[in-house]
Amino acid sequence: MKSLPITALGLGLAATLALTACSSTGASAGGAFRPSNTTMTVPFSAGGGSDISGRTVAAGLEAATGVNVTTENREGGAGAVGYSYFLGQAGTDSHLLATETSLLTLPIAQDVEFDHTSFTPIAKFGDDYTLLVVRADSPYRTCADVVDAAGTDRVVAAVSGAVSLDEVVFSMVEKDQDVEFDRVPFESGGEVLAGLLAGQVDIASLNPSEAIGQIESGDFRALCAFAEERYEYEELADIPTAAEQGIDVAFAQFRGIIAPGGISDEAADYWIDVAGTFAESDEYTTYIEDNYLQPNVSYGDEFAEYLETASSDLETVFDK
Amino acid sequence: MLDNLVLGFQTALTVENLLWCFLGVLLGTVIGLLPGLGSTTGVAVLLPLTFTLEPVTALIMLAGIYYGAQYGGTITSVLLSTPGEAASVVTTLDGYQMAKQGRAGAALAIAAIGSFIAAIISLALLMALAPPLATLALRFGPVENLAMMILGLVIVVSFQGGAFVRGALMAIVGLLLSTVGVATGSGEARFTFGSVDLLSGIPFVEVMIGLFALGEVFHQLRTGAEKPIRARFRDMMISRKEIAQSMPAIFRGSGIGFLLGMLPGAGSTLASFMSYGIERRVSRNRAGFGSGAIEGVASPESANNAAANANFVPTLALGIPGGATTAVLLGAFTIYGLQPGPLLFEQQPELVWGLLASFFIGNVLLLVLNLPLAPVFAQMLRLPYGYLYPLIILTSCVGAYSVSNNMFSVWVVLVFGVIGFVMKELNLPMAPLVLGLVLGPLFEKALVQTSAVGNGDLGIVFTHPIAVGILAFALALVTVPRLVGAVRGHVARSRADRRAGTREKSSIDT
Amino acid sequence: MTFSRDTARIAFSAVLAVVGAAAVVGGLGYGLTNDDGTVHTGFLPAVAGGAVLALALVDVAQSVRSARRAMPPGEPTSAGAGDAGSGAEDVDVLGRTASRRNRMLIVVLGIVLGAVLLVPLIGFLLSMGALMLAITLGVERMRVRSSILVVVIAIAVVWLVFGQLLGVPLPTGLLGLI
Repeated sequence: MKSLPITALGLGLAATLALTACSSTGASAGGAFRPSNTTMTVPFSAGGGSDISGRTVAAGLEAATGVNVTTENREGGAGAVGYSYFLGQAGTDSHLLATETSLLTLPIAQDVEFDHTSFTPIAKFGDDYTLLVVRADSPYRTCADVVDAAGTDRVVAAVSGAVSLDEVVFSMVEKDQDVEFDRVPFESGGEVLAGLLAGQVDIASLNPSEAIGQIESGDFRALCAFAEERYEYEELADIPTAAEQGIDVAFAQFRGIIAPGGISDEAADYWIDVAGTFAESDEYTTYIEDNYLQPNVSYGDEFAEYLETASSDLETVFDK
Repeated sequence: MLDNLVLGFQTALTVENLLWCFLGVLLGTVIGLLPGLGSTTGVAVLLPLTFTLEPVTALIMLAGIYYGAQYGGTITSVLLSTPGEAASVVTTLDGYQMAKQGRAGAALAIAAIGSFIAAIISLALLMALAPPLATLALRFGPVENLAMMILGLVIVVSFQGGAFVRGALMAIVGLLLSTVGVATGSGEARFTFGSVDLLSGIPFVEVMIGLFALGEVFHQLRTGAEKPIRARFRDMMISRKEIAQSMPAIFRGSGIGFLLGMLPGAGSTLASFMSYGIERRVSRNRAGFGSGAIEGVASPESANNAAANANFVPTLALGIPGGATTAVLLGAFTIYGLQPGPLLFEQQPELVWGLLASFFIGNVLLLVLNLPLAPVFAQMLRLPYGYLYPLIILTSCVGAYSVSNNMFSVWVVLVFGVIGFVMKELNLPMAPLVLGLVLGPLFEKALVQTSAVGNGDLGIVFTHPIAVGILAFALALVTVPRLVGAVRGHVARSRADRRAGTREKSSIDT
Repeated sequence: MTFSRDTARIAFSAVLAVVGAAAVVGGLGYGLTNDDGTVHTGFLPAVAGGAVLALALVDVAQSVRSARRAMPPGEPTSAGAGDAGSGAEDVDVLGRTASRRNRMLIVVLGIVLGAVLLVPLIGFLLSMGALMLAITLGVERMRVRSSILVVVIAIAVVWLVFGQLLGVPLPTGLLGLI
């Protein structure tokens, strides 16, 4: 009786040993790369857009690879904690990170040790644009109204962080139109939503998935979309782009995955391959549609090029 | 409303849903038992388990985990002085004292009963009034939040009674510790000394585990073993008198908890601290607080649970998360293809009312499960301390590690374990430090936002009547008892001089 | 502890006063307000640091006063007073003297420190198992068989709940076993 747990533990030990042995030979044999159990790091807290994206992709990759993909949240420092930790994972080929635009804004605006070239780009799954929204009782009807008002009066904008997407978009509008907004900082889209609902701020720039509930209920009015083209989603198709109203600003937050730097080409190719499998799946389509994303997919080198271009665009925004 | 309720129970009361709800409560309790793993982590970690279920069933199970985890945290707070979440820190103050006196069973039972009553009250309010309440809660902007944070700190300091200076000192040290990491607003790194781990600040869950769990272990080692608690099974049961005695505390706690839980951000931690602080002022048994008063367990536990339900007011009515766990639940909504927002009640009545009905069922299950189990759990204390404390060290380290899968957390626990030991030896209060640390970032956010709304002028606070009212109340809490105390103290001074030797003890007991 | 509790408390508060002063300096360095007068990075540290400094100094003053007042009777508040045994000897129910308990505390602290340092080498679960064995056998002198049983069960439960159920990857260290 008493020896039972010990035997069980011994068995467990032996099994684990055997497993470790298998996976290590698999990796060193070269040629066909097989991942071991994989971690998906999300550099933001549970419940946000990055978290949803990371968990959906993790589930999709689990189906495509047949290994466990565990999601872990490493939030803090507007993403800096997660990315910095990921920098330390260089060479680990069974580790991914659910990335978005702060990969590019953090190195520009803050003193961090990484930039987008520190990691191996795998895939970009979609683009998330923002809408300029106001309360239904706001006097503003178009984005041009907002810009005009900002020229003469105090217009208070909500931003969800010093390097966040809405900060980028408002800075772009300020540059393009030579006006200034006052800012009240919040820490998440949800808080911005509450602040705008309560009238503590005049305008906010929110992702469609964040604001759609209030837009459909008639609490908010979307004035324009900071996108190149109008949305094709039925609920959003009537919203004009900013360019239609004379404001030449379009900027999307991308969503994708990266692997640590310094991994083998075989490993990178493998992940690009399974990411492609995920992007073909029904789960992918559901994810994109539920979150009102644009399904702009790119992989590997093409994704790297996108990062490079977007990064230099952003540098001019933050260059004050 | 009644139709909807019937619809809700029809949805929730299927055998399958009941089973998943039960499983959720059970898993949640297990997770809550592990220090560091609170309801947020529990829900996030077990989310994938629910992907294959119907949305209603999945949400019912997640809600079960949410409640179960909270109660699990209470069990360890009472038995081992190891709070699982910041909201259960105050429960350790009297709960652990009760356990030491062999009344752990009663403490756990009153926590279950208090939580249940609080849940029923707050669910009734939630069902009847969620949309109007949510609109009301929105009037609490940055300015009001700032005032509320100040009130929270004042209350926790004031429940230190005589040791006012030390309580205030510890609360502000907590506030100061919270400034480590990336600053709200500017996004600059502050006091991080180049460490990546410190960017996200000094993590309060780990600090709490260190101070309370390890600090207590080290303290016990030094003061020496006590007789193992060998209470008879009957003594572990709660008496009818104790239940009656706790009722006012439970009702007050539920009210305070619901009010604070409704406000996005303020949350259950503040609720539990505040209700304890207020109970300590108004309770008939206020003298017994800090040395095992059953009201000291009933009040924060009710507040905690009422706040957890009130968190769903903004979540369901507006689609805005009321707390960390509801944020994860909202994320889950999207994964199930549901659109949270003001139209949820209209568009998905079956889901919303099914969820609300399952909250009832979850709480009933929790009570049914835990009331008989309370004395059983209490038997854990029969384990000789020589085995118990290595186990506490083990769970503290594993729990800390699992918070962010990082050895840094384990080091934080160790460092604060030693600090907690020193503080215990010096009779310095630890609860204000934890509250300061938890409220710090919220406080700073409210401060930065207030100054931004006021265009640089913090004086804007005085143009908001609600905020002024809250601040006036805080001021009264500090000054009135001190004035009264000063008059009384003058008379008692000569007597106190003679009792100088016992000063140490009385200063924390009052 | 050879010195009295009052001395220790004065030292503790003095350290806090220094920390508070440092926070004020640091806060001023980060800048209190932005150009438009809104609150900046250094505001809260400076204000909180100032308050810590002030309160710590008040506490030092109070402690010094109470120490002076307690002096004449000539009995510094003895260590471990309060919860421990009543009156008689300072020996606990297991017959351990105060000095023996202090030694035990230091040994346990050392074991915990050592175990955490061992994690990168032999992994989390093995070092925790070693920690528990060292305490139960080395410090507490519990029976060998039951100690091993408790430790094995505890580690197995942790492995099951964290490693398997919750998917928390506990570090395996250089040894890479569990």
